[in-house]
Amino acid sequence: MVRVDERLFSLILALISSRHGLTKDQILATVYGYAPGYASGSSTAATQANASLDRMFERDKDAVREMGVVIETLTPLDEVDDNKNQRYRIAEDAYELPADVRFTPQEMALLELAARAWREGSLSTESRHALTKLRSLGVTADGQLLGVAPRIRTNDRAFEALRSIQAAHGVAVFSYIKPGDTQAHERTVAPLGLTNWHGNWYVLGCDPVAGVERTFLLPRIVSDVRKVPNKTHERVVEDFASRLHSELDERAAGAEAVVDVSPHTDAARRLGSRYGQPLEGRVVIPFADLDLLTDELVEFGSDVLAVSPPELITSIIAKLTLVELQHTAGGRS
Amino acid sequence: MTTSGTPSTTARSTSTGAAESKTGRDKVPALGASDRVTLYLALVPYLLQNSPVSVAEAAARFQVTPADMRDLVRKLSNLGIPGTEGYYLPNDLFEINFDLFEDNDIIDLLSAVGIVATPKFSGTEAATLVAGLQFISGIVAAEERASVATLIEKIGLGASAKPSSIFVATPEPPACFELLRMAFSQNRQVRFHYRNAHGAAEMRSVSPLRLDLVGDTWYLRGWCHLRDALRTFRLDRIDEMVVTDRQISLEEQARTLPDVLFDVRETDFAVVVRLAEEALPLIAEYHPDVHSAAAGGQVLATIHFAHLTNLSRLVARYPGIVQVIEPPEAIRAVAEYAREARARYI
Repeated sequence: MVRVDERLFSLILALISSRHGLTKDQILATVYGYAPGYASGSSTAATQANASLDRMFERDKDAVREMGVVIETLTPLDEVDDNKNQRYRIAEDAYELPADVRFTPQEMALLELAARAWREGSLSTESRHALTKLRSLGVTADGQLLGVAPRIRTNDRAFEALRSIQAAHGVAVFSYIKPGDTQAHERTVAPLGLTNWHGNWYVLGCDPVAGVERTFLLPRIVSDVRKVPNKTHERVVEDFASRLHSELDERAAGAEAVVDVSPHTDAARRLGSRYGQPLEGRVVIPFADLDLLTDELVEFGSDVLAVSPPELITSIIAKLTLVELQHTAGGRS
Repeated sequence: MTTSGTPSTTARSTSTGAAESKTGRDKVPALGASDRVTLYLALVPYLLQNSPVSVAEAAARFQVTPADMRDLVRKLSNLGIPGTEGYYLPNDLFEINFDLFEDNDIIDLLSAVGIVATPKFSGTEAATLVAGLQFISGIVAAEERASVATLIEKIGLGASAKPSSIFVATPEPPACFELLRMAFSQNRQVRFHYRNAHGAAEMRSVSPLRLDLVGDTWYLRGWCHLRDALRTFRLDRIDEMVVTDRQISLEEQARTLPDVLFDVRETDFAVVVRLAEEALPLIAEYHPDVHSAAAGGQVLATIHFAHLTNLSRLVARYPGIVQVIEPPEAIRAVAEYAREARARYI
């Protein structure tokens, strides 16, 4: 049995070295990994064997494309209805890194650091592959940023599912607890872009029925994210992720909370370093999301006292009551 | 704390990844099919430019074990393109110098077929690089920030699909970042005022070993001279930092740092919590030891805390999600923490 990686690599080599492309039959009959199982003729056994090779080829094509290798399909003009003579090819200029995309040792150091920021996240495989490709250029990183190890957190389960559904222009279904709600509701959205804003992941999605955009906070997605089968959502070409980022910035600029912090506490120091030093024990905090700010402040316990807005005070008291009840005899859920 | 018998002189060069691979906790995973295909695609252009090269050097460059590198090269020599007749003939295969390879552990690629150059990045691969660059751009020196912008553009040109679905905001560098950068580059110890989560403050003298940025929180890892042990400090709890004249000793520099931020120490307090299995990722940074499933998709897990206040804060951060099950003093501490905070609003 030929290993998957050897078959995929052989497929890439065959498609890139063939000038006019190969038909599926040619591929199955000649390329290492398919060829031994390919049967000529039209017996039932041969048809069955070839059908399973056919499915394998379809999967392999997707796997190769996911690695960033563009496989072209060429259909003879007069045979648009018949894919028997469709030819597959990898064009060199679509495959090769352009000659002007080269990196200095200093740039390699930055790229290594950037790729390694994903090392514990769900995109660690992709970032590792990006590094493998970069390393083939033979440039050795000149370690400028000694002693710094940044890590992007993607520990929300929803992240990887949303990202792959987004990449496929698909539609996602998940349960979501909306701010202010205590119950989860099922949501159906086409994910457009993912943004990390102040340490939290947000997804911008389009409701395919209502046709409106909505923002979701990943930690509030409380179910697995599932892909709606056989459904895609077309979108215009736009950098949705960076637009979402600017929108979150704008939203935060419009809402302010006033909070008193006890002096010489961890709360004073941490809120101070994030939002500016407390003035007479008071900090003003711009926020985009009331529930998120509530969690952040509840964590500090009696070292903080919310002054305004009123809905923040209500939400903090509700959460403190919940914690207390859950940890008092008789109040166990 | 150091791995006995494996002295490391590169523990601080984390940007090259050498440190992580030596910690033992960050084991090199077995190579999957897509890893191996990517390695073949990368290895060929590298060898065309750089062979002959020793197995050790090639393995170090691609961060694989020498055994994996030998296996890749051996397999490569059996692969190639189907010739005009549809058969793989010797001229259609990659050719290596076998004597040099088997006798001297040296790779010399004599001829290649099909591919010559480094492949483009996939859209997702490019997106990880671009988002990673956005993430680190706040901590690079001012003169390097311009090159980050150029790099993002170049990565876009090198991608086979548009890398635009992920955006990571640049975290602000902490106030003492420049001082720490100076301490790192001059190999000097720092001294600062540190207030822990329960409000106790102390002066600490620390040999800084590494800065970790996790999400939007900065941590300093270093050898604490007050405790005589490796410690992790949150940068937002540090005040009045000075760079001292004391050097960081070679022994301290050689210490290996586990990728796990918080080490479980003997003085730590073990607490059992109950939470929904799907909420486990929320507390991943505490390395919960999941030991049994409870009813209704819930699990029981043990986590360790240096102080009960830290536990109360974790529970308060996820109200209704994380519930303490034992010991009784931990349950009481959490209830008291919430009651005191709520009393301020009455």
